[in-house]
Amino acid sequence: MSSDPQASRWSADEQRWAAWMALAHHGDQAAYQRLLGELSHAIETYIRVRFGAIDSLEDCVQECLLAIHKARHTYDPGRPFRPWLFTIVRHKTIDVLRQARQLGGARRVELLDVGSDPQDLQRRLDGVKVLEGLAPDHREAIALTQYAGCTTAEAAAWLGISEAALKARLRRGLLAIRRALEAEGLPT
Amino acid sequence: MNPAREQLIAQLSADLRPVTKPAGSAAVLALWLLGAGVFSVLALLLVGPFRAGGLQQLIDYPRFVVENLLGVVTVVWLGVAGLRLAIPTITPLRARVAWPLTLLAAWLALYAYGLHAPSLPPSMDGKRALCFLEAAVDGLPALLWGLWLARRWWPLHGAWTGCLLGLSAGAMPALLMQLACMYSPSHIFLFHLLPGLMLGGVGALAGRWVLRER
Repeated sequence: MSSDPQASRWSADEQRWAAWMALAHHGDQAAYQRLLGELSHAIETYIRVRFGAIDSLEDCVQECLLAIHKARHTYDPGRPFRPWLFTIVRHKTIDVLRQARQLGGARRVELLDVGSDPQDLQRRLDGVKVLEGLAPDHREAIALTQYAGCTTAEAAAWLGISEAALKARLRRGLLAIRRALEAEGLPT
Repeated sequence: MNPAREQLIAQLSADLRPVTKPAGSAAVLALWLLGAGVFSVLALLLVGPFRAGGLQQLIDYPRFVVENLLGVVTVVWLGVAGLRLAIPTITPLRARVAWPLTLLAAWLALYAYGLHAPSLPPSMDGKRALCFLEAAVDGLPALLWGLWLARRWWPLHGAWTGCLLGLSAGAMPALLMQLACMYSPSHIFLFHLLPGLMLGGVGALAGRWVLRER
């Protein structure tokens, strides 16, 4: 048994969710309601951590719950629950974000989490200034992967480009930042 | 909790029905493979008999057995991997398609080697007039059935799911042709394997179209 409290909690969640889903497969509505209730909080946390503070968070959570409901027959009670769950959540969230982007909706990426340290604030503001000078494609790639916490695959899927293209944008963007910082005599 | 979310959860719970046929279960996979195999055998028999002495050659020529056994494993693995691509899992796509495609490459490599050193003495015995067409068409029902199954599950990679299902469905009649049609490596490549591989392409296109990514 692991002494790490988070690992213990994850393990307990895993067992409980798998058991409830197995009961739901047999038509137990109460277990299913409890499961969806807990999952909705887990999904919300996951999206906040992985995708940042997005405008359509509630839409994403509800779309994910609907997707889980439609895909529940693809869960095999003999297999781990979390990978199944978060694969659906990740794909659904990227879908929702992509749709929102296609419809012209803006996604809020919080670049600043300003602390009280003035030097820290200045460094962050310098960072934002440099970011603003980047080409939009490069800025987008960096914002998604470095600030919003997306993996390169998620960011590529969201932008509708290949992962290799995303990595190329990222590499060029980071190089441009380095050059900009060096030109202004700021630490790289 | 957001009231709209709470209401959604209540509605989904009220809408709950027991799951009678879990997706991706061994029984479903076996049924697809068995059904596809039986259909291919019957379709071939409908057009003409299998090559006389074909089964005896399985006993007499060990490399011919290896070719066919590897073919069976390839067909099964491609089909199972294709259907399993419609089940959500965290395993990367590359890892899920690498093994079945490696097996397919190994199977094809055996026939490529056979161009220089055939497993059986090449012969026109048992030649079928329409083997190319048969190899291409006999796999179609299995491909359609597989796509129908995958569509009801949760496919994340439509084109790849269709491609693997197409390759498996196409490899099945191609494999049976080793016993039903004449044996000559160049003929096998052009008239049995090529249409089977083409079905992989058809499956990829159909999968991209039919299996919308979720």
